[in-house]
Amino acid sequence: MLWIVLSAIALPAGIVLALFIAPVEAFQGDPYRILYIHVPSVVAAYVAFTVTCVASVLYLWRRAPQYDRLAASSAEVGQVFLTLVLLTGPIWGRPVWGAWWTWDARLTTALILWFIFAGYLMLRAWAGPAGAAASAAVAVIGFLDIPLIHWSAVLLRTLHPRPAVFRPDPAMPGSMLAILIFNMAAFLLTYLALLTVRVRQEAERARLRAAQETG
Amino acid sequence: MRTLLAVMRKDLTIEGRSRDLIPAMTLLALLLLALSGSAGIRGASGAIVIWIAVVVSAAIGLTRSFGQETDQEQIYGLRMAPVDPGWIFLGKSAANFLLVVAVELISLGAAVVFLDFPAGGQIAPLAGVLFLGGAAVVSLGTLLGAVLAITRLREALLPLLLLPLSAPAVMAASGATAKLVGTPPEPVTSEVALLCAFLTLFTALGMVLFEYAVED
Amino acid sequence: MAPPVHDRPAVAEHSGVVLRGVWKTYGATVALRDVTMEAAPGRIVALLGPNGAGKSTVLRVAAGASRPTRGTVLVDGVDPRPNGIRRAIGFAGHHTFLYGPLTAEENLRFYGDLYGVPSASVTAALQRFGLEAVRRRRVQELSRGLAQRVNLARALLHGPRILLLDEPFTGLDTAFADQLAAELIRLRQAGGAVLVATHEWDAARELADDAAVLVRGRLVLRAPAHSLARSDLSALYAGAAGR
Repeated sequence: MLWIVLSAIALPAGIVLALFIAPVEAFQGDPYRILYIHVPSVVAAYVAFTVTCVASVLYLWRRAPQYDRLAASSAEVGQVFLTLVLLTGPIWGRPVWGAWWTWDARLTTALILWFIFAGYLMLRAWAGPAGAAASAAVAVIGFLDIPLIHWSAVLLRTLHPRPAVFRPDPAMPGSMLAILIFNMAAFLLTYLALLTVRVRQEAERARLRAAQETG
Repeated sequence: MRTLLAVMRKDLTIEGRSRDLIPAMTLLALLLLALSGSAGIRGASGAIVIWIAVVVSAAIGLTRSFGQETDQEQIYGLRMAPVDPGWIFLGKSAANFLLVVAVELISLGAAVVFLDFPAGGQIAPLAGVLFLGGAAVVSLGTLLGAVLAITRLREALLPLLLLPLSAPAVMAASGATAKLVGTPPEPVTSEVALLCAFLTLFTALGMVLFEYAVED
Repeated sequence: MAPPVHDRPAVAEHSGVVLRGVWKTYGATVALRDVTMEAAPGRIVALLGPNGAGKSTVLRVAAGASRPTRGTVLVDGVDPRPNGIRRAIGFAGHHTFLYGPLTAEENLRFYGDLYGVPSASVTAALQRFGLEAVRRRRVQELSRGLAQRVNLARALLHGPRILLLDEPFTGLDTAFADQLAAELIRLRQAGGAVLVATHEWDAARELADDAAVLVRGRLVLRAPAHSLARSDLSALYAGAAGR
């Protein structure tokens, strides 16, 4: 409940700050504001997937259903944020760099990760009763794969040089940084809120099924 | 060690008996290369096509490799045997590796024919990359196959998950293959390092996770 | 999981199969509820119950192929899941664990390799179980009855002292069924423990020392086999069905 309330306040506040209060960036102009959504989404997505991985390891070890529910819910919410990352990337890129997509190492990693978690979610949906352990293993494999994916994306970038990456001006004025951090916090709160809702929903569903069983 | 050889021999004998897996894998690879060739892909750009063909046919081979372990729940028979599950994993990986290498070599030949892939003069290093990349993909694929073995719709899910998960290996192998035949040929040390890291990680993970994957 | 009760390097503790407070759930389905039972050395225990009662699950948990959700499983005092005690366990389930494209002999040699059984023993097993005639036939070409024979040969190949069998008499001709019964009695004489899931009441009654009845995952009766009448069983099954 607390998360939902906090995020309901923080998220809109963050967006208002991003769109109206933040100073104008000299080089990129207004479109740069999407950074305030893009970067926090990345943070939220990776936090979500880390939670999924940890919960999956715990599930494989202990086989307690609550770990399974946590892993699945976190992956779902994480995928939403990751989709946002992949959508805001081109929205930023097109007006600023003239290209819808650049094979920037981090964006490429995000894209491949998106496919991995899409597969994970499909596995959960289709796999039948053995799906919980299987998806937990896939989550662990996917998570350990991330550094390798990033490494290969960097390698390929040197093979085909591309324009400069999505990186905000290193000498970022304090106000920008503050708003960015505020938005990161807001997105994380939103993640926690959505996660809690989802986990509770799954727990209820499980309780209902168990009640039907013993009846 | 004895376990590894026994499992490997068993898998290869079964494939030798039915004789339908290598043709299926090879035909698919040849088809992909032929299509790319007719679409105009030439030269070093063919590298990625070779590797896509390898991964896709590997997925078919792996699905089958574990399919034979489920029709009579053989995988539980393996699980109950008094052997370290890690060796079973290595045995299956070794058998799958040999199948994939066969397909790789045929694919390379097809690339030379259909795509004017300039392999000449670089055969030895190319073979090295093929072996290393193939081993990397197979190590991950065998683990994934084991994880998915007792789930429904394994046939659809394995390729769907293998492709993104093996992306680093595919990209590195493909990059190395293209570099080796480029003019001039470039060093591929970073790619080889990545492939070694990938192979090591997933072989180790496979040996450890195999027994948990085959438990219900 | 409980640690081994004793730590004798030379002789393992022979206590047979022990399940204590075992629960097993698959997602939302509860297969076993608080099952406590044992199959002691020198006894043949018949596991009875209607379809879906959980008999197969008990056997898989005992074999170490399934991890109980709650409770402990001990085979000769140790957890059957890690390697070690598995060498002493023989398991034959609904599925034969055999590779269709391989011959009967190749299958037995493969499992022989896994269990460290010398080649001569495999040849002996082929003779002992009357499989000489079909040794070079692929398992997928064999009839159900013959495949089941190979399945049992596989389970007994390494001379286990704990035997877990799931409906082993299904599909067998009378001659082999008698032979199987003789094997089980021989094993019992030698101090082995046998747990047989079956719905063939007559075979169970003749062969078994004890009977354990499972209904809907719960152990509802434990009694000496000879004291159990068919009508008792029907009553138990019906009683549970009504619930």
